[in-house]
Amino acid sequence: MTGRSRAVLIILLLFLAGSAAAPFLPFPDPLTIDLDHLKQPPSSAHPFGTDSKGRDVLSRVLHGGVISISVALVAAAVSALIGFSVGLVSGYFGGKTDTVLMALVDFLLSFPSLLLAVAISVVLPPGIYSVMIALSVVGWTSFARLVRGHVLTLKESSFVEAARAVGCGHMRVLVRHIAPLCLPLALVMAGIKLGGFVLAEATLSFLGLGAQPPAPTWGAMISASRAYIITAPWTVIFPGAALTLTALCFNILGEELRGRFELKGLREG
Amino acid sequence: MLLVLCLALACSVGCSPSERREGFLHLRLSANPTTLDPSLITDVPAALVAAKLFNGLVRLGEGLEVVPDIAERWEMSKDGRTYRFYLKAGVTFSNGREVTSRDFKYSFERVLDPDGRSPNAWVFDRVDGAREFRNGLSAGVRGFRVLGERLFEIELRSAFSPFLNMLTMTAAYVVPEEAVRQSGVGFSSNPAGTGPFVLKEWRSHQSLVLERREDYFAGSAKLKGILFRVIPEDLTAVTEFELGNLDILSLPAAVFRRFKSDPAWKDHIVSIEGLNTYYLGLNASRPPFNDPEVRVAVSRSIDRKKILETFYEGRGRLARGPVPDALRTWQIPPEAAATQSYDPAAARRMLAGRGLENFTVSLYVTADQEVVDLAEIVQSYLAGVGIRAKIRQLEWSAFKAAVNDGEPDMFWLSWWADYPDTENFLFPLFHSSNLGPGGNRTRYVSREVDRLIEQGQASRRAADAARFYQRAEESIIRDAAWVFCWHKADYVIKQPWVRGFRTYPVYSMDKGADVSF
Amino acid sequence: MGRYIIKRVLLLIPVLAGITFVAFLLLKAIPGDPVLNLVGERSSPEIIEQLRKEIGSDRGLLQQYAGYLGLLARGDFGRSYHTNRDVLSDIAAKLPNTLRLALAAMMIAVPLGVMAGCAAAYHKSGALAAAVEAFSVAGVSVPIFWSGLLIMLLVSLELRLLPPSGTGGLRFIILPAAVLSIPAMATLARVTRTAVSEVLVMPHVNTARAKGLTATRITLLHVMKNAIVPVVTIIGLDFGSYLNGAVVTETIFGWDGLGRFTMEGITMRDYPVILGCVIAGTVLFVLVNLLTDLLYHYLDPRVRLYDRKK
Repeated sequence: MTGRSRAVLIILLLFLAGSAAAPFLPFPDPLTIDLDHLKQPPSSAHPFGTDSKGRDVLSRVLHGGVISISVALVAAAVSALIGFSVGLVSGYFGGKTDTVLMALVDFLLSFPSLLLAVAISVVLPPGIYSVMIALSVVGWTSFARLVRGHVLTLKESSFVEAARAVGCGHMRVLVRHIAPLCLPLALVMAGIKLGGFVLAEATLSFLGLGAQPPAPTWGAMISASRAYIITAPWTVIFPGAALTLTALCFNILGEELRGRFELKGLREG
Repeated sequence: MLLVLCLALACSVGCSPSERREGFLHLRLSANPTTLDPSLITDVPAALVAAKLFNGLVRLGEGLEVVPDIAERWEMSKDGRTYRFYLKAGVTFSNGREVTSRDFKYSFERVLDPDGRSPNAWVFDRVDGAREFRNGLSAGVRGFRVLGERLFEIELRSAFSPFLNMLTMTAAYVVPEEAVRQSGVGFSSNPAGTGPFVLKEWRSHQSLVLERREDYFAGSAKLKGILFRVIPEDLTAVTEFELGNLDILSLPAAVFRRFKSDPAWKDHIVSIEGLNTYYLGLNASRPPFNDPEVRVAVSRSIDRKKILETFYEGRGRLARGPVPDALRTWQIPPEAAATQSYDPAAARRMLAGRGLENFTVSLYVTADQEVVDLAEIVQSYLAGVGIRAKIRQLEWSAFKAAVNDGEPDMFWLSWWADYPDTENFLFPLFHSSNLGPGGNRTRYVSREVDRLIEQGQASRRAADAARFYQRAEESIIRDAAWVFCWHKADYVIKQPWVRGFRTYPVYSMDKGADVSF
Repeated sequence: MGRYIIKRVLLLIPVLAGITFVAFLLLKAIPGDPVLNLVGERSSPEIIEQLRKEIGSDRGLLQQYAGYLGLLARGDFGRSYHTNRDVLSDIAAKLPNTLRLALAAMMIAVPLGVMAGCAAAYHKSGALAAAVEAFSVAGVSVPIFWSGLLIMLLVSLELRLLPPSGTGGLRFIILPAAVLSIPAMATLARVTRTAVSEVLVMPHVNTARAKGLTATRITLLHVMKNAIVPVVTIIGLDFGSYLNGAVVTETIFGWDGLGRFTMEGITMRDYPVILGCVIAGTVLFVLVNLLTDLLYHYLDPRVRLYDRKK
């Protein structure tokens, strides 16, 4: 692992640890409104300042990290799961199933991703679960394509032929032989796409979908502070910086993974 | 390629401070006006522009008194039902034709015309024969009578003291029949009126240009014209003002403190006390808020003064009742005022006394950032006395529909004066005939208050009406029908070179004719 | 080639049908009465009555879908709850603005991104390459709603060089286009760098170098010709990123386009507007992808080989 990625990993882990520990550390409550200290600039009492309702921005950024990152992780996991299953089935059984499933993938890909995610989030009740669902629906397609490609190659390999010769049923071959070989691929892809999921969740919360106020999500914090950008720029700068840093770290790790596994067949999309 | 981009950038930077028209007043509109046909106008930007293009029988002076506009004087009959207006001579439309009383009959009937689908028909509802006309049972409105070239009479079904105030509204402007017939629906974008300015150009969503009329009956305006720029984003408007591209600007909340504390600007800020009341509505039609004691408890659990001073930076006056201070000519007795004072301990005791210790209520708000912020503040105060408020944000028309149907337990709303009469803050909001869409969204019903309001409306002298309204308001405050919050003030900033700028409590009264550089 | 065009255009039909079907499902999925969700309660009773006849719940699902399809075909996308205006006419008015913005963003992203990628490919080590690489990752990590706000703060509000918002000519389009172009520029730089570096080590390029051709000529003649395929693909695919990005960029910079219209629809839960924008945006995206694909095929007949290999 390169020195740069190691550094990135450390930063990321520190940040994650900070976010995870935030509820237990003596940070000011991110939800309590304090009318006496509205929009205070950064100071020793409030290193990141306070927002339009007197809440400590540092605390909110850390607590927000928990929400934003966990939503991204869950969405990535669910996308990977769905895509993995579809890819396996489609690649292995081929024929009509494959045509139909790949047509579905192509169809979903003909939507601009954000618009599709928005459309789904809007019909579901507002909240983080809707965002997770929307991101998963939009995100599974690339996993499916990738896994399917790999399955197609594996299908012809000798050990599969051997297993079939011995009398293993299709399901057994699929589950016990092929799937485990595709798993690392899916995991790696998930790692690569994690940065994108974090940004997508932030965009949806910026638009007002996702976790509802007073929950501190980075996107919602930036959106709520838009009007105060002249008078209290710290309310916009810090959540955005945290978001960028997180996405950057995930993306750098993703690049590392991509390089490591030499996945040239891995396209964005 | 890079060179081209750089050149382009340089050119645009050079073009940045621009667009000032010599001799024109530059104002901002926060949205594109929907129409400039007075009978159809309900939005603020349109009303602002229309005020410069039209006149009515009467208008408001700076002190909220009714003063002559096209009518030079008027008389009211002894029974308060009939108003007779004597019109000035020599008042002309922009096409040169002189205004007669027939024009007023035409313009007012046009608002009531069922085919016109005017949302302002309610303004003339009290006129004798209006209902028959709206239902298609008569060809005209018998209460509008043309007695002579410049003698116009209006008869109401029964005495109604606020009526004269209502005639100052946008819907009561006079329009020339021939122009309307010629333009048809196009009259919305091609208006013609008697005002000090005429519409020269309207670039939808961008700008409107008004030019001065030399033959305006009250003396031509000092400036050559007005350029309205449609700028929806507050921060852009502020930047344009700082660059000198806007002359007068209603100061957005986000930058208020910055300008107020800037010595260069603070003397150029004028405050206008608004005729409005912001309140937390409590649904009186079902538990828990059908119990006045519980409503009083809620009222006492929110520190409204503190919110006004910190969150709103003092931009307004604390509301002690539904009627704005400017319209209230009496004092509120201390026992009634006690229901509004901040005392969370007392609130908790009252709730405990009612057996309500931890309950959940719904709080509906519109999807506006400032409103949502406020809702969270209210939510945290209520949590302090054991009330769990669930905030629900809705789009404006869905919000109105839900509130009109009595769906939420609590909601945040404001009432802005349609016309500057105390009655406008009582009848639509608290009379039992106006439940829901009529304006009484908290569904508050009190026989006593109903009676007092009606008596006030029927009074012929302002002092008599005030006495009835006073008792009605006292009763409403005692019952804590609302959590009365504040009357918002508007702050307007003007450039140092602007002279003669007067502020009016009702924005649509500003004809713009007195301003100069 | 002709057959390919026909095939792709024919493929449009099921895709469009699918899009409208998804929109219809969404309409049904929104809580409440689908008819009222399409025009709002303030609409006139006649319009509501007529809509009920076409999409009313007393008809079968497929018939309702057919009714909805009929509405869309007639250009009736419903009326905005907020302004009560016809959604399609608003979309038609705002769409050109979004296209202008996307085009402007492309005009910034493509030349700068490609040049950066080429430069990094040539000077493989050194500060330039490192900077381009850093930018490639950073550019897609920075959320554009944040970078947009920061750029607006610096350039418009503090330095007062350009107006912070508004729709119109050059000085209004520069900032949002610049912000919108950042992720695309980063991706282009990375892809170009990869494509060009691959081509640079190909034998015929080395031959050309040996023959003494200057670097520029090599680039233009050989490298670009070979690298152009993946680059064009990315340019086309990235159009989706402009559409996605436009939603927040237009909102921040007050640019009156489809993106801001979408955001307003979302904020106000104005379902007819949201649905209309989703349909319009998707159709646009599909058409652009079609054009890109056709261009792709035209540019390089060998691509058909790629297809078969896949």
